Amino acid sequence: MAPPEVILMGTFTGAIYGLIGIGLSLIFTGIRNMINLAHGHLAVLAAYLALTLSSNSMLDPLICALLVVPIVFALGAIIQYGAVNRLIYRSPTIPLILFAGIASIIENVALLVWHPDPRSLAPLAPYSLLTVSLLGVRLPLIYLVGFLISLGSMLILYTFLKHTDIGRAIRAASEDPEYAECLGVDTKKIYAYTFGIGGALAAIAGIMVGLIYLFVPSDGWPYTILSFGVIVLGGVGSMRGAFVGGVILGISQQLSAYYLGVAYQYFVGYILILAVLALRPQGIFGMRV
Amino acid sequence: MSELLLELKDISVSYDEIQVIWDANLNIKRGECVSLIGVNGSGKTTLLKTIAGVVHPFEGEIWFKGTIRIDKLSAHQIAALGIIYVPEGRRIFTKMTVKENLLVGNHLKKSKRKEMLQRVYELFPVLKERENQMAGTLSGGEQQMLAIARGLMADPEILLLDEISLGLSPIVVEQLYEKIKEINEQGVSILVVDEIPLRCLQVSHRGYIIRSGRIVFEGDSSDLLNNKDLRKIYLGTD
Repeated sequence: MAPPEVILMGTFTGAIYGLIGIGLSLIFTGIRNMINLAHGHLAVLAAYLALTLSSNSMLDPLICALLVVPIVFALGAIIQYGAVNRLIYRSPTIPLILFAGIASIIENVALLVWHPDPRSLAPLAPYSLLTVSLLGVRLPLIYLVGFLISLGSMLILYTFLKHTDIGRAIRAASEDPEYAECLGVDTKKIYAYTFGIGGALAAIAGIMVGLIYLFVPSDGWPYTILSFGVIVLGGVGSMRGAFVGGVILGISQQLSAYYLGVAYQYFVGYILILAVLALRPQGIFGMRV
Repeated sequence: MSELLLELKDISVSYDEIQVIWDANLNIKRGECVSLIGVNGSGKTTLLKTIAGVVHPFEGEIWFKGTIRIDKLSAHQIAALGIIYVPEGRRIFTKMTVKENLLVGNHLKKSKRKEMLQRVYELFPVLKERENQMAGTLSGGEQQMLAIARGLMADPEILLLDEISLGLSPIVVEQLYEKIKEINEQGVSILVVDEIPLRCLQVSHRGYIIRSGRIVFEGDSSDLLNNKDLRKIYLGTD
């Protein structure tokens, strides 16, 4: 039997993966099936911004997140409104090239500004060394914090999409953009919100992962691939699915690291993704299209 | 019944290289209900979509209230002026509840939300009963009511109704036209397009007949209904 802390830690990190996956999924379903190839880079960028802000201000990284997340939201909204909106109507593949470029810019700026050495937000958060007892197991407090913040962010997102005018407009534009326009929804503006929110979710996840693990400028691509894995497992467009997909990936990573060694933790995750694609291509909670 | 609310002047529309509307002239006065009649593929829907800004004419002008030129505006700007298109096939947001659909329709008139909700619920009480139901689970007739109600939530000056009787039983169609008459009497100008021309001419003041992308006849509904030749050729009855 696997030690329960392995399962618990997998669940907690998995919720963070779920959050970054939901961001990618929101952008995909919300903006004409557009794939944000720079998704993971936005997460890494947020971690670096929190690092700089926190080490200069001596404020807690989580406090700094209150500033960094809105910055990434604004960056995402500007990218969408200023650039992507001009391309998206021509072909869904053109933005891919743009995002590859943006990813490359973020990665190289990070290399330049923050250097290639692995960094972590943990030294800036003294409580990251604390442990808590939960269900009879001891585990680092920061995992629990990451879990709760991810869960909280998902609840806020759900409430926002369900109960605000912009949220409803995002859902309407996601289902039928052409007709939403006819009801007065300015879809270009709504897409900017959607991309900003998706980016903000990536930013929150990036900061949480940065509090738990080390990160380097080239982590953007693995983060993006991880986000894809999450929504492939859970099913595109399903928040619950992305959460479950994230948790499955998180647990599989922890288990394989425990039994097979750290080198195998991604390998097992990818095998899982391939298995789901083969057996249930619409994802666990996805609908057949 | 005098102010010219909407005026199409020599409108020509094409999809890519294929022209579908030739020099269409059409107008709607405030408070009027106007029918646009024609067979499948004659360009009715295209003309409505052109007014709504979903497609743009390559020639001609469209004026709103005589002073605002709208043929170059985007769909959401035209909606903001109070011209609301209720589409063919209803296109309700199936993943949202009935009430959420209505609230999306109310996107532009949030200050009048309560008033508008009350108005559409009075008009279509069944929507009130089903307000928390997913819109995709409604029957066809209820979905059509929702589509019209959603458009009304924008407090429009003109409603453009496209093929509202498509796939519905005659009884439901009858009920819908009663509601359209009521909406018109509340002061909303209406341009209605339908496959069942007799029913729609009975509620409208005037009618246009469109054939192969050209408007070929314009007149009072009573003229259209009584003219033997027109009945035979365009309405398919004796």
